[in-house]
Amino acid sequence: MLKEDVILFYQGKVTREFLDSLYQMAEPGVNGGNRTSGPNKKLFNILVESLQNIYQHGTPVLTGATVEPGFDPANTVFIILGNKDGGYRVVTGNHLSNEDIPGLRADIEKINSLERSDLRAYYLEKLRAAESSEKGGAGLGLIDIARKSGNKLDYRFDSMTNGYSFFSLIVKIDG
Amino acid sequence: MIADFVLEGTPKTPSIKFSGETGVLEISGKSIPENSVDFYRPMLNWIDSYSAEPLANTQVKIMLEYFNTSSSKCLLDIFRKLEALKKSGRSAVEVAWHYEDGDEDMMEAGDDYRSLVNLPFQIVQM
Repeated sequence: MLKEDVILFYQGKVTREFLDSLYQMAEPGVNGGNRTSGPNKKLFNILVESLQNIYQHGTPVLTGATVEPGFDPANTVFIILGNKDGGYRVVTGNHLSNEDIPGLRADIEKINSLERSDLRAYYLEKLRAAESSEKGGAGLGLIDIARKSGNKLDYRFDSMTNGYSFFSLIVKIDG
Repeated sequence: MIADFVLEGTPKTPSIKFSGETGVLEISGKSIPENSVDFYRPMLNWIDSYSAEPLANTQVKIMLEYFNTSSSKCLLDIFRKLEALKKSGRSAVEVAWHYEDGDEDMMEAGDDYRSLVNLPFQIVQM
C-alpha cells in the first residue's frame, strides 16, 4: 500500500504554455481548498518557484559535447505526491552540467544549515544586494522554497553522460 | 499632470492603477510572470515621470495574493524609487501593505519589505 498518491507526473520540456496550464490547475482555492493559507497555497508557491527556476536556468548550454541519441538536456521531470495528512512532496528534476554541481550543492547546504529567522535574514540580505538582471529572481528561488516549505531541502545528483548529471530537488510540505 | 497607468490583472500579473490625479499607486492581485523585469519596467518609468512633478502626498497600496521571487526584486525597485522621492522632499510617501486574514506568507512578506524600506510602512489585515 502506497503511503503517498501520485497526483501529477510530468516528463518533458518546461515551456511557458505548460507552466500556464499548470498554474490554472494548481491555483489555490480552485478545487475548493483554502485560498489564502495552508498546504495548497504553499504547494502552489513552491511549484511556481521550482518550475520557474528550471525555466530560467535549467537548460545547460552544450559546448562541443557529443549528445547521445535520446539525451535531451532540456527535458525535466516533476512529480507531485500527496499524502494522507494533506501534505505534499514536490519533486523537480533537470539536467545540469557537472561544472554547476559544487555551486548548487553549496547553495542548498547553506540554506539547509539556517534556522527560520536566519533563513529570513539570508533572504533579505540577498534581496537587498540583488543587482537587476534580465532574469530577475537573483538566486532567491531556493531560499523562498525553503522558507515556504519550513523543511530542509532534500536533493540528489545522479551522474549521466558527457559531463552532465541529473539534479533532483525534493520539497516537503507539511499537511 | 501625468496620465494614469492602468493595467488589468491576469492570472499571472497584477492589476495596476497608478494615478497622477490622486497620488494613489495600487498594485493588487497575483504576480508570477516568468520575467518580471519586463512587466514592471513601465511602472518604474511611470514613477520616474511622476516624481518630476508629484503630488504633495503619495500613497502606495499593495494588495497581493502571492508573488514569485522574480517579482520580489521588482517590488523592491519600486520602493527604492519611492524612497528617493520621499528623500527629495517633493512628496510625502506612505505604504500600506494589505494581506488577507490567515495569510501568514503575505503578512511575513510585508514585514520583510518593512524592514528593508525606509518609508512609513503599515501592514494591514483585510
